[in-house]
Amino acid sequence: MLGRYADNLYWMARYLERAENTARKIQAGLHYSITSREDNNDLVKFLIEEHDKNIFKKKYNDFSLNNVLKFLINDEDNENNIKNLLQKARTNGKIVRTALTREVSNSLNQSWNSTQKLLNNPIKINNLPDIIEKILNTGTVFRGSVYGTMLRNDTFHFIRIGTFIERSNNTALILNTKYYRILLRKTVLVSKMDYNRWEILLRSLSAWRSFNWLSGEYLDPAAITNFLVFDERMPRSLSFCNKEILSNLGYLQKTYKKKFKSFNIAESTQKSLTSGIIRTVHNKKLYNFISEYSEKNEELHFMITKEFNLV
Amino acid sequence: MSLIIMYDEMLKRNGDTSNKLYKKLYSWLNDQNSSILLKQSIKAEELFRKVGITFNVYGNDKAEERLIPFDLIPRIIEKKEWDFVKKGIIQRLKALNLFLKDIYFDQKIIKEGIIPSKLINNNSAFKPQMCGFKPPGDIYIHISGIDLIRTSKKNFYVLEDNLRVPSGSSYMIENRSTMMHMFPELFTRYNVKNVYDYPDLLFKSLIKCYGGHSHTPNLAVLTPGIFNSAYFEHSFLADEMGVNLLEWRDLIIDNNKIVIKTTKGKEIIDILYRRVDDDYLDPLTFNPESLIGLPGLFDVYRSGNIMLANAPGTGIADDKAVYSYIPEIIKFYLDEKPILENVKTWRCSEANSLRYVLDNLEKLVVKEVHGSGGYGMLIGPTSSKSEIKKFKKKLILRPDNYIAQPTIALSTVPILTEKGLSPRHVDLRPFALMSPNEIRVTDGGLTRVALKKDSLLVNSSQGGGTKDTWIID
Repeated sequence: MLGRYADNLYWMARYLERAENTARKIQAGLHYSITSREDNNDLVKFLIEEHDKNIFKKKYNDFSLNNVLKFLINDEDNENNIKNLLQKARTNGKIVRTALTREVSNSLNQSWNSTQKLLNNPIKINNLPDIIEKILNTGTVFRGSVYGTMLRNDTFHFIRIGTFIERSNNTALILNTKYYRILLRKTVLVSKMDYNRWEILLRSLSAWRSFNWLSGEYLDPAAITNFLVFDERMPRSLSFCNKEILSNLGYLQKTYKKKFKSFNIAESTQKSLTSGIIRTVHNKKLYNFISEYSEKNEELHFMITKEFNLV
Repeated sequence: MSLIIMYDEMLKRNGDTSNKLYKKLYSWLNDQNSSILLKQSIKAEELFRKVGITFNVYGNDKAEERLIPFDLIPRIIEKKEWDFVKKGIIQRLKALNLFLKDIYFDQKIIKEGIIPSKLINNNSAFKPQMCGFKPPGDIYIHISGIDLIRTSKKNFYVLEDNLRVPSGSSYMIENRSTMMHMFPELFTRYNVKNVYDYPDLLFKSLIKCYGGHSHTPNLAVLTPGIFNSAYFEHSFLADEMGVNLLEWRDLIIDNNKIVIKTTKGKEIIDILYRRVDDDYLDPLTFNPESLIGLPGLFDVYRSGNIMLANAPGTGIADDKAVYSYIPEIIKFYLDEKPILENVKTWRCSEANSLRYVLDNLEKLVVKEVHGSGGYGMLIGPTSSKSEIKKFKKKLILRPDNYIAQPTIALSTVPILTEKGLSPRHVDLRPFALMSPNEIRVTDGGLTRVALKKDSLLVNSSQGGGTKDTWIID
C-alpha cells in the first residue's frame, strides 16, 4: 500500500476517535453539571486539556458552560474542536476512498451530512444531546462497518492501530493529568466531591456502567485504576488498547514477512501491562507508570510513521 | 421561446408517447403516483450524497461540493440504432489515431495539402515533444468520450471528440446503480445493456496497450488531488480497477523509472492513467510555469519506462478547428465516408467564413477553439444585442480563436418536474477504449440534460444534469 494511504487511514481513525473522546467528555461533563451543584470551574478543568487552557483563557472571560462547549465543539481557534476533527477524518477518508469499503466511506459521509448543519451553527445546550449522540453514533457505525465489511489486510490494520493509539493516549491523559491526585489521596473516606469526579472519569470513558456492574456500588480508587489500566475486558483500558495495537502490528509483520521495531515496542509495553496489578492506591508509582506508558506510545507512533513510510 | 422544431425522443406533441421503445416505461410512469416519484427524486439525491458523488465547482470556495442533478426518467435507445453509432465512433477513432501518428511523424496529411500546416504546427495543442516518439502499441487515444447529439430518429451528429482526459464514466455507472436501487421493477420490463463492466474493460485495455513485457504491469491512476472537480471519478475508477490512486507528491524518479513509496518499500509504476492535462505533466518539458507535475517524467516516458494514457499531444485531434476537417481525415486515412455526421462548422480563421459568421451571429453558436465546459461561448439565438456586439469585437480581434456552428435542434427527452413530464435538451457521451486490435464503445453513456427549459447548455458547470441511458435489445 502507498505510504501516504497508510498515513491517511491511520489519521482518519485517530481524528475520529479523538472527536468521539471529546464528545464523551462533554457528555460526562453535561451530566455532571446538570446533577451537581458545584462550581462550574471544576467542570472546565475537567473538559479542557492543559495545553488548550491558554488558548481558551485568551479568548473567553469566564468558564461558562456555553463558552466551554463552543470552544470544544466548533471554535476555529481550537484546532481540536469536534467539527474540525470530523472534517479532518472525512478528508483523510476521502483521499483513501479507494481503500475503504463503500460501507465505511458511506459512514463518514453520512455522519458528515447529518452533523454539518448542527456544527456550523452556534451550539445550543438543548441540541447538545442530539449532537453528542450523532457523533458517538458516527464512531460506532464507522468501527462497525470497518469491522464488518473490510478485508483483514493492511488497510484494516492501519485503521485499527490509529484507533487504539489515539484511544490509549486519551485514557492515559485522563488518568495522569486529571485523576492521579484523587486516585492517590490517602483518605479512606470517599468524599462526595471525589465520588463525583470518579463518576465523570468513568463516564467519560464509557466505563461507568461496566465498572459498576463488575464491582458493585463501591468506588474503590485501586479498583478503578486496575480497571482502566490492566483490565483486558475493558475496551478503553491501556491493556486492551495495547493488545489490539500489538496484534495488528503482528498481522502486518506476517503480511509483509518482515520484522518491525514498532512491534517490539508494543510488545515490551504489553509485558509491563500484564505483569502488575496495583494493589494499593498509595502506590506513587502510578503516575510514573502512566507517564512512561504515554512516552512509549509516542515512540510507537513515530516508529510506525517511519517504518511504514507514513508521511 | 425557441424557434427550432425539435425532436422529442419519448413524447408526441399531444403528450402521448410516439416511440415504441418508451411504451412500457410510459405506462409504468402512468401507474406511479407522481408525488411519490418526486420523493424518489429526493431520495436519489440523498443516495448520491451518501456515496459522496459530488463535484467541486471552479471559482467557488474550495470546500463547496455540489451534486450533479440526476433526473429519474431514463433515456432509451434501441440496440440497432446504437450499433450504427458505435460503428461510426470506431471509424472516427481509428482515423484520429492514425492522424495523430501521422502528424507526430511524417505529416503526410499536411504535405498532401489536406490540412494547412499552420493549423497543426502553430496550435498549442500540438506537442512537438511527441514528434518521432512511438507510444506503446501505437496507441494515442486510449480513452475517449465522444459527445453526440441527435436531431431526429435517424440523425446522430458528433459534436465534439474528447480525446484528452474526458470525464463522466463514473456518473454513467452511478446513475445506473441509483436507478437499479430505486426502480428494480423497471429493469425486469426492459432488457438493458450493462455498463458496469467499464472499469474492468478499461483495465484490460490499458494492459493490452502496454504489451510485450514479461511482467504484469503495475497500473495506477494519477489525480491532481481531492479538490479537483472530477476527484470522485478518479477515486471511483481506481477503486473499481483495484489500483493505486496517486498524487504528484507520491511519484519519485528513481533510476529512470517512476517509483512510489509503499508501506512495504519502493514499487515501480508501469502505466499511469493520468487525469491531468498535458501542460501540467512535466514542467521541464511542457509548461515551465507549472507548479505541479513531475520534472523529468517526460524523459522517463520517452525512454519507454512508463506508459501514459492518454498519450500527450492528443489534444490536437479534438481541437475544434481540426474537427471541421474530420470528414477529410477519415477519407485520407481510411478511404471511407464518415458514418456519423459532423455539425457544419465555419472556421473563423478563413476570411469568407468569418464574414458569414459576423453577419449571422444571432443565428449561430460560436465556440473558442480550445474552450470546454461551455465557458467562453456565444449562443446567438439566446443572447442579447449587447452580448453579441461584445462578442463581435472579440471575434474580430482573434478570429483564429473561434469556430461557429448553426444552432442545432438537440433532441429532447422529458424530465420529471413538479408539473409532470417536461421536455429538455440532451446530448450523450459514450466512452471508447482503444487497444492495439480493438476499439470498444460502451453500451450506454452519460446523457447530459439541460435542466432549464429551452436551454441548450448541458454542461454540469452550466446547470446541467444527467440521466441514465439505456441501450435495449
